[in-house]
Amino acid sequence: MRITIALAGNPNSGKTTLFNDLTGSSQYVGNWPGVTVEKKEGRLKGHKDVVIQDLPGIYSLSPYTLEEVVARSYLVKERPDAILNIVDGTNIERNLYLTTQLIELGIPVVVAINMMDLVRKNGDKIDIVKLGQELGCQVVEMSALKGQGSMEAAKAAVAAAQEKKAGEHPHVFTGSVEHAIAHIEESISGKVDDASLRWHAIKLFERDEKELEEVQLDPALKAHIEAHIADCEKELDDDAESIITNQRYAYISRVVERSVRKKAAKHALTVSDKIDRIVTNRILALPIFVVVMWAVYTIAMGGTPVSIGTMATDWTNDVLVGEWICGNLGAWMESIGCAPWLTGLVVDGIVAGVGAVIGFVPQMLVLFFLLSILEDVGYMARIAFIMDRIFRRFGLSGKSFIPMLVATGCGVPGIMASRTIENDRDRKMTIMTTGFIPCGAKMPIIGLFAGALFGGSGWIATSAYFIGVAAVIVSGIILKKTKLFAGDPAPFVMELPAYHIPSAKNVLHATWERGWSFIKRAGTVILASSVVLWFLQGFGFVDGVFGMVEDNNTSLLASIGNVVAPIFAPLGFGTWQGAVATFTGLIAKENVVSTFGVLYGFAEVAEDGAEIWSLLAGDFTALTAYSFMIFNLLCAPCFAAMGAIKREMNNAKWTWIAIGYMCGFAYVVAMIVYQLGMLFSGHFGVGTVVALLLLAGLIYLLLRKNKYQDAPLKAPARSVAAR
Amino acid sequence: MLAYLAQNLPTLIGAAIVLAVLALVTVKMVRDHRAHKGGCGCGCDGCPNAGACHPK
Repeated sequence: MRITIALAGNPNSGKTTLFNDLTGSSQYVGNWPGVTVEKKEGRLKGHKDVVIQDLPGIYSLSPYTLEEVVARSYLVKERPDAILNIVDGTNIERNLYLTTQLIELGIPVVVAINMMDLVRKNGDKIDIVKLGQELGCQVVEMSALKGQGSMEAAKAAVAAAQEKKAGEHPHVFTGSVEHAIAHIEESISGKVDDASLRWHAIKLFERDEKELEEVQLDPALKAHIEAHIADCEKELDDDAESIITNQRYAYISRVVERSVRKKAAKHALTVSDKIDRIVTNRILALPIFVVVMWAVYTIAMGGTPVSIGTMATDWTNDVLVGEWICGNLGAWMESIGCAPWLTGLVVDGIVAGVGAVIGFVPQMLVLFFLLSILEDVGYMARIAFIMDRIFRRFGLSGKSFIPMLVATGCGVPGIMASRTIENDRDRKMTIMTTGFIPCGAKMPIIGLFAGALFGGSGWIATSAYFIGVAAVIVSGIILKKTKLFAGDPAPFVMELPAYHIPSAKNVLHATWERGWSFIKRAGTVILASSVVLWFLQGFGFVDGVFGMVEDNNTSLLASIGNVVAPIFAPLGFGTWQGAVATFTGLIAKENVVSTFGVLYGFAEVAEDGAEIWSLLAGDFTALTAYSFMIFNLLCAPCFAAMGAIKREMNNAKWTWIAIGYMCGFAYVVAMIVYQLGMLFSGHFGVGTVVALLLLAGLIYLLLRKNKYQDAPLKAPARSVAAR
Repeated sequence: MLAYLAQNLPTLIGAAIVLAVLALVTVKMVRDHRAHKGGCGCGCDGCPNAGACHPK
């Protein structure tokens, strides 16, 4: 017999960690709230007939956020056989709010108090027997991160599901509220599932819009129920929703008082609080963030004396790909008598293209390893909080920063994460700007130019990240002043998880997932693109005859590239190579680097003993390289991300607005940087005047009065620190 | 004919291998596309929104 167990709990309470532990899955575990947006299914290890359903983290069963709608819809309509309610033991009062609602659903509930190791470490005591008696259901202890008690909790849930007996409803509300609820229950009996009669009655008492929409009461019955609610409201002098909320909290306070003993003094600061006083300090927060990101990018992609990533990448590029593979493979193929075109295809096409991208894997792995540590420790959640403070000053919501945190791995899930933003205008704006954050696929572009033209300076990669963040802020300010995006920012309430030692499993898994996916793309999309590029740059018409060309400046690719290259001339890279690389980057951003690998050729360079990327450095100056990098970081993302934009916008017009805006913004910024940069070398021309006008226009758009907003919004960000 | 084959055997074998690899890559890309996966750079297993593309 198939048994379904739903994992329900507050955001960041450890549901996905438990899900992975119970099912052997490797779902993404993020140390900030809102990681799981959709529900996920897996089989309990050793019990193929038991299905575990991981639900998004929710604070209540009110249908205010997408996560709540997904979880509530599943629990009410699909009705699992049992609910395993994960409760963060260090925040028990807040977590039990959801528990009281889950119990009302009439589904067997087992409460698993998670993070018991931290509870004990804090010196607190939770009497689980007493707590179980108060709540009317079984309570178990566990520590999902350490894998302690997870299976026992699952087995308790399975036993509860087999018994098919929901617990007794605890006495949560006062007499007059219970009286009104009883009347509503009587009125709707037979119209809803009997097992969850109480839950439906309470929701109707709260005048829950979704419930009213679904139950479809006739006007007379609706009026009858309304009369009971109004009587109760009059008696208690409050609105129905507040009555329910307040009485739930009053009930929880009584339960906690009887079953939990806290050692910590009321106002004592935890270690996390003490760290946060510095890390999220109004003055220090941003400089600390800049220093942390600089350190991360320098270790991953900086100069060789300090950068582990660069040392490994240099070895991969120069020795592994350049000398061993390109050099030896070419010589071997010639020695066995392979035709020159085949040797060229394999060495100058496939190996040069794929090898150019693979060479950056070590830098990527180090970068993602460090970012995963920052995420798992809990620092990245603080960044969202810090950014909310900045964003809110300009009328933006810090909630927009969560998709941007996700987008540092890949833009596609970042764009998809925007669906948690309820405000449609903010959501659309987030979709349009999330792609500005440099994703993993853009890292090789940064690494390539930082290595070839900037001596591996860690500041190049750091600046690329902050250019992305600045582009988001600048775009936000500009767009919020337009009719399409005007409006108040959505409220952003975020729980800051307590700092903890990063889990090696989580960090290594996240790093490997991203790295392996990058390698797989190199072996598929990049390989296929490299072959096509090799053909197009190796063949062409010479004296009216089609064939292989000696000089790729006379190739088919050069002919195509030269048509579009003038578009990029004002940005400083009006060569056909730069134009082709920019366009191939639309297939996948790694393609920019593989295109250079094919066009400039690994093998040729390695043979004469010169630096791998010296030919590239010969065609670009530091300024044109920086302009090229900025344009490729900010312009339209890859096709996969464009597909995600199309899906999330669900509208062709908005999709083109988003892509057009990104390309236009990238063009303007790259042009300003290049043309004004040229002033330092004494060059002044038409381009400089245009760039100055564009800069003036940009400043005007930033500083002009927002006619859609009367007063500037300076409301502080709200956060709830985990204790 | 046999002389031509013998003379160009390394090229023919090499070209066949390259073609086979390209065919495999193309098949893999088409299959992934049909299964709505492989388009993004993070992999579906590690994606926090994988449920949106693959509900089961």
